[in-house]
Amino acid sequence: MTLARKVGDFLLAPWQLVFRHRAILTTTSLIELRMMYAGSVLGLAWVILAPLLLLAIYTLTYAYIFQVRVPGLTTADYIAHVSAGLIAFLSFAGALAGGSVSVIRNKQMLTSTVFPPELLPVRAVIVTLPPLLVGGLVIALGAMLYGSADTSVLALPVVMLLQFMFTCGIVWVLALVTLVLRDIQHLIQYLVIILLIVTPIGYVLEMVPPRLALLTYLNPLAYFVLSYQEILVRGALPTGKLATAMVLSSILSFSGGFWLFQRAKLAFYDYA
Amino acid sequence: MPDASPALRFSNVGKTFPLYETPGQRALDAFGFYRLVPRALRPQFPSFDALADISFSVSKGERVGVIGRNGAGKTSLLKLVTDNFKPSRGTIERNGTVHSLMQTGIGFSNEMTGRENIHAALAYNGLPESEMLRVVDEIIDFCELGDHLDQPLKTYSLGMGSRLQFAVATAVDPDILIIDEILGAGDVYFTHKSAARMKGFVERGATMLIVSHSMQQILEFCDRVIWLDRGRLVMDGPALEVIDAYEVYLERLSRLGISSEDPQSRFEPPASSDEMKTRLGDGRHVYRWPGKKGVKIDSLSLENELGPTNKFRPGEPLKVGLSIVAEEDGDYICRYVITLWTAAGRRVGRIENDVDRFTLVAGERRSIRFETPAQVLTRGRYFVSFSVYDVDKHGSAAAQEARYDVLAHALDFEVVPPGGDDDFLIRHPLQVSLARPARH
Repeated sequence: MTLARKVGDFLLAPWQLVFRHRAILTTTSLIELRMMYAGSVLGLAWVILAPLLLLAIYTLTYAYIFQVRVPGLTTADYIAHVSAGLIAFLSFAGALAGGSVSVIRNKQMLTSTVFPPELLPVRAVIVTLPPLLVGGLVIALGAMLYGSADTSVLALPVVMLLQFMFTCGIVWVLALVTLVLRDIQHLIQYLVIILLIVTPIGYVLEMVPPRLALLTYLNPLAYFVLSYQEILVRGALPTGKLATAMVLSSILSFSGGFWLFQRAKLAFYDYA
Repeated sequence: MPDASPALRFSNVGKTFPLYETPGQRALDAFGFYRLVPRALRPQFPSFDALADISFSVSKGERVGVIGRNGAGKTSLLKLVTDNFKPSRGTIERNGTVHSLMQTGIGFSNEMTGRENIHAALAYNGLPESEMLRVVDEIIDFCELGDHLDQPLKTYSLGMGSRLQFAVATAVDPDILIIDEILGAGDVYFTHKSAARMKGFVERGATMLIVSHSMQQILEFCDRVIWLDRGRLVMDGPALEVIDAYEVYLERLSRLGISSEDPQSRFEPPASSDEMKTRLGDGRHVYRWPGKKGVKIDSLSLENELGPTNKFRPGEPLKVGLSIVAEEDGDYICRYVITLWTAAGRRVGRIENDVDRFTLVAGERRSIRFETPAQVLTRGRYFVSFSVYDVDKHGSAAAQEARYDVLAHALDFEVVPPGGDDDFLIRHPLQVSLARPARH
């Protein structure tokens, strides 16, 4: 009974935080986005424009300039494959970069009694979501018109939510660790490059030598990328091991990361 | 029903920071690595006590100033109140919502317009959407930014920017308010306007904890003052009393050639306010600033036309007397300066003579009396400070070196109108002449 209760609390705690502060979280995330583009002529339109531009460039490069052909995939499918991987990756990489410094860059917020510092990493993840959402929508439409996706796209929001949870957990831990180990912020950019290599974005999993395939399975980001590709390229739902691995790593990361943050925050804030 | 529980209570609170030699050690310690090492091999880091054994409690509606030199632990103390920082020892209880005005600039962006910045900062202050419109209008009104409101913040002058920040930060209505040096924003006009806004908090009964380097501001808003020095609580008492003692301490420091900004100075602050007091020849205990050898004030007196008193009616004569005693033989040229203060630390007036030339032998006394035929003061409590300066024969400038003696707020008296209230600034002396009715 008490154990079940403990597990329940462990799983629900981060949701309670986000739900309780949903108003301030939404407002401040919007402000953060507006700040990112403040002073520019197009302003918030960049939130939509940026991912579109990116997808256009990649489509042009891969499909029409390099004319990459992957056995078993039509050009449309290949574009969907690359774009799906790309939006997931860029959102994740952006969250790592912004999230790891989210507390240290906003240390004056630690004296705030209204905005809990726990929300800083969450906010950093939220501001990387628009490219994922906008990009996802565009790819879904394109893949339904020209490729193999169908009603499977209805599963996209679920995968995105799972990716959000997964990323939050990682970023909670990174944000704290960065307070004492400032080296993290320099390290992240190289970590991201490695991540780009071991994630099947430009290539398909079948092209990876079996001995190295293990590397892909150790990379949780690959679960999400593979799921997006499953949905958008094959018109199927991620099932079996893939879905299990994705759901488990998301929940564990979200609740575990939050638990760690809560346990360690007071010890770490002093170093900010 | 009055609530007796304190708004804030510190019990034996201490805050210690280890001083690591490298960031690597800091990281290893933060991750608990050193706990795995056997105790004997564990590196010992020197530590720094930002706060040590601090105990005090603040009742609801009380306004407490926190003073002390740089590095005294004032900001550390305020940070602990916010609950995001944990004391190393002791406990802190809070009763009510805490709001801190330490974080000016949160939610501010140079590229956004003044109006957008107001919205953003208010959101970070946790203002609900429903109150937003009313408060935004009020802030716009307060700041008088006019056409600049819809311009990016980067086009603002420094003063306009700080006005905006102050207005936004004070737009909320918490139970406990902690303020770190933010009252000095802008020009004189806005300093007054800001003070009026602060008075709003006072009237709503907010509990306040204010850190400021301006003793004037502390006196204006606080009834009680806590003096910290190198993390220790030196004194906790009525505002004027503690500030007087603190100023004597600073003056003694500077007399010893120690910069008051040097937190490492080894001149110990006093154990009690009595230690900062000096006994005059007439038995009064006063706060005496150090001065050069020569003459010292020995007794003070305050009289109306009937004799010694500390209660006056408006318009009564006010006679202030002092007597000085020579510490060594000499020809002296002195100027006496008498300053009147309100209880809130505002200077009301200053009385001084031109020059007084005299010769005294050591131990000999000289009495001086200042008389105003009719003082113009209104209801209230007033304090009188005395200083004696050494001036040259032209009567010019008194540098610190030329100071014989200063007694801060050495006397106090009350002005009580015989009936009815008067809340005027002064009572103007008046002669009324009535024209005779013209004869026909």
